[in-house]
Amino acid sequence: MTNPILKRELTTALRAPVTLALAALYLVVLGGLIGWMWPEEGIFSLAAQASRSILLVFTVTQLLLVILYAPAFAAASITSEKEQNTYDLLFATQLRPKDIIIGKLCSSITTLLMFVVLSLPFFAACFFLGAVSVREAVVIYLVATASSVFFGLLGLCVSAVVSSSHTALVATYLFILLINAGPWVPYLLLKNQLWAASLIETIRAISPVAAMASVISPAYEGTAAWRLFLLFAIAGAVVMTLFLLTTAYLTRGRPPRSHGRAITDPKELMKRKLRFPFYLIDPMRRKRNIPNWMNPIFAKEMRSKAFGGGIWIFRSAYLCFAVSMLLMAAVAGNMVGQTPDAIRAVALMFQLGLVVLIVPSLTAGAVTQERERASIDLLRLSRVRPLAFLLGKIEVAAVFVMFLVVGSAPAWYVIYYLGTNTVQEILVCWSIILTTMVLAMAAGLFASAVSPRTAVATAIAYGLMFVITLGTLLPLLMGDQLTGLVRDVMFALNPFVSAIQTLTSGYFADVGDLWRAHLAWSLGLSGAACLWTYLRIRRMLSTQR
Amino acid sequence: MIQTEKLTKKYKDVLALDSLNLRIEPREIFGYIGPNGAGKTTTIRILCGLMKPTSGQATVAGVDVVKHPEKAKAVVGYQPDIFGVYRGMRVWEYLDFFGAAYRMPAQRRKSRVEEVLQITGTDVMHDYYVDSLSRGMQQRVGIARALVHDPQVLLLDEPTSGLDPRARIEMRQLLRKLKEMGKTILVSSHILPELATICDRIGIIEQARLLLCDKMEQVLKQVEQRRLVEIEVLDQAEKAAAALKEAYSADKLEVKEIVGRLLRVSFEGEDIEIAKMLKSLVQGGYQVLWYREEPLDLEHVYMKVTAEAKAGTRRTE
Repeated sequence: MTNPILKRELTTALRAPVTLALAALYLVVLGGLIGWMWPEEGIFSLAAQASRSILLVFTVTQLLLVILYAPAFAAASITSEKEQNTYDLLFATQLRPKDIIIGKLCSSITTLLMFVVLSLPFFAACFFLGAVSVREAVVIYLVATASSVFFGLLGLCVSAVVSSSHTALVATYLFILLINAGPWVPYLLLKNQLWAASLIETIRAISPVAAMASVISPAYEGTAAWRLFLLFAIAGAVVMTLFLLTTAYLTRGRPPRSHGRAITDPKELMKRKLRFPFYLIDPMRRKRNIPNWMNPIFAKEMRSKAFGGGIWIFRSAYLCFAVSMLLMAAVAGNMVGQTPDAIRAVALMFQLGLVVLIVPSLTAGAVTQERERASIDLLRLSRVRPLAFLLGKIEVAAVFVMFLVVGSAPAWYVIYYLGTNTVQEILVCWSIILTTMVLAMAAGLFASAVSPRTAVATAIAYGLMFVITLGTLLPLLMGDQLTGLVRDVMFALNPFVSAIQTLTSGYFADVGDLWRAHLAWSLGLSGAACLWTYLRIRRMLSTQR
Repeated sequence: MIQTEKLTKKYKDVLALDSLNLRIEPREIFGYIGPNGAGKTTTIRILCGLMKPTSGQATVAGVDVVKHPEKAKAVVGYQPDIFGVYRGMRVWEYLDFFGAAYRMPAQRRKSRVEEVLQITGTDVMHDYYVDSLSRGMQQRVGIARALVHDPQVLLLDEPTSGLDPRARIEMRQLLRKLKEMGKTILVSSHILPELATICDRIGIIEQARLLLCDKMEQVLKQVEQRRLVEIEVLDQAEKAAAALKEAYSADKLEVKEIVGRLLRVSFEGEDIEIAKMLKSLVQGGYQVLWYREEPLDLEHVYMKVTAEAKAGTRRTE
């Protein structure tokens, strides 16, 4: 504890109410699951099957919670210093870049490991059921520890290269999705291809969820999966630590941002024009005042956020387009075998996944960023109405989403090409995607209205969306332990389940039509969240009492 | 132009403003002085309609800000101590946005943005990114923003904090220019010599109470009845001091100190009486080299008034 950064970071993190709240949530969720699933008939012998179910649900939930907490403690670690203008102050002290990075690294990882350790008393309960051997217990905790170190480091790496906590959180969550869910895509697409079996297993082992499953259900996952994952995590940790140290040395004493200027040189002007389509959004090109009919908040957001430097939105659309085209290539190459359900499920999950992962971040800073910049008072002084404020923020998020949806539209051609769905089914899916977009935007807005900072709001927004999309999958793991009504409501809340049920023939056939209930739940929850946000904004913009 | 009557604000148990009575005339620069937490920002926030007082009245340009805070926003331009700028927006876009937020028509905004950039001397920064500007430049753009909807009253909270000497001088010039344009300005600051040079009147607030409020000269006179006079004689300074003590009573004159040939005297009386005192010294055979009256400064006044308030010997306004 001689490193002052480590000492300060740990003290601050452990004192923060948000840490206590997250720890409480963690314990309540794990404790609640154990209590709920505890077998009622006997403890030691006959409960073996139930014991493995409890172990599986417990370990996967614990792993997901630790992974989801990683960005909250690591992704804003360096960006918060940059935002508070204290990053340069650290480099101005006698601390070496290595000390700063090691301090940040150790504090983030120690906090995350604290959550792993916190689960031990609940995990011990599994021993009473005879569900787990000592060796399995050691491996489960090795995988959980490796995951927390790996994703903590990932958050820090992102934090080192971007300038705002909001961007860092969003990017880290995207990477988390990529590493957790991405390795399952080849499995879903190519599981019928014998030649790809070994490749699929190796790729899938990168996902910590697959690694954890391989410990508890070796029959389902190859036992080598957790070993492969540990190797991957160690190699990744070494590479990311080296990256962090190099970045710290390279970024110290970075010059401040240049002022920008009007471009008069014809050659320079031509050069910029040739950067089409980015020239269309070049801030230097803008000359027109905000039109009278336009919501000024929307115009401001478009200028300062979207087109003030948001080339990334175009690049995201390109990426979506490229992935969609890959899916089309997979279909055209007849790689899916006789059943097209898998490719439809992947296409759908790709588009819904984009919505769930990107959209909450677009609105999570809607209110908090104004408060952080101290511009909320300036808006309160103006004649901007709370509804105009809310609509402006929603409209700009909708523009972003439109780019992503249009970019991923070719994936829908895949579904059309397969030719087994009616227009009505496709329209139902579109309405599910649309309501999920609305729900994700509302979740971000709600989180932004109730949070003091954008980083906290982003984490809350993602937390809400993960509860809706992952938490509602609990009936899949808990089998018959839930009543039919609870199971139906949970499935109806989940957009993936509703859309897959509509589009495919084999999945979720045992539950009734979910899409109507899903639309009602999504719109109802979105309406409630938007109403709450509106009331909060109205209170913020009104005269303080 | 600005008037408050028994304006009081309480935050739970903390009294932030205690029966403030203030009157600021049109085209006046009013300096609002006080330590941190005295109630300056609370006053300003109430006057611009951002906050409701617990009790009392406040009007700005004839608008009752307590009853009609929305109307007050149209006549007030406010620059907070810390204010936000948006990333990726250029200076003209930033001003255009706030013009639109005040519902100014686009055509009017176009010309008004250019006007305020000219007035504040920020026209060269027209295309700069507003978040890339230095603190001094941002303060100027902040004033341009406060002016964009052409308010009659400007409320400026610490507009010179963090500025270098040149930027401070330029800010003073800008405030004078705004006064000439007919704006009424309330400016709070910790940098007292600056306020002394530009303000028509000042008010000193401490612990939520307005201790003093008047024209600069009157304030100085109110605070220090006696005048500080320095007299240098060619020699015999000790004897000259003794002669003065003999000629005047202690109530009227007090020799504060003797430094070499220099006498520092505290004297109560008009100019004619000072002339008589000097004449008596010369007639007494003392060779007076020069005489000068030491001007009282705002810092001296501020320290004295706040010390008296702490000791409980000063009444509030």
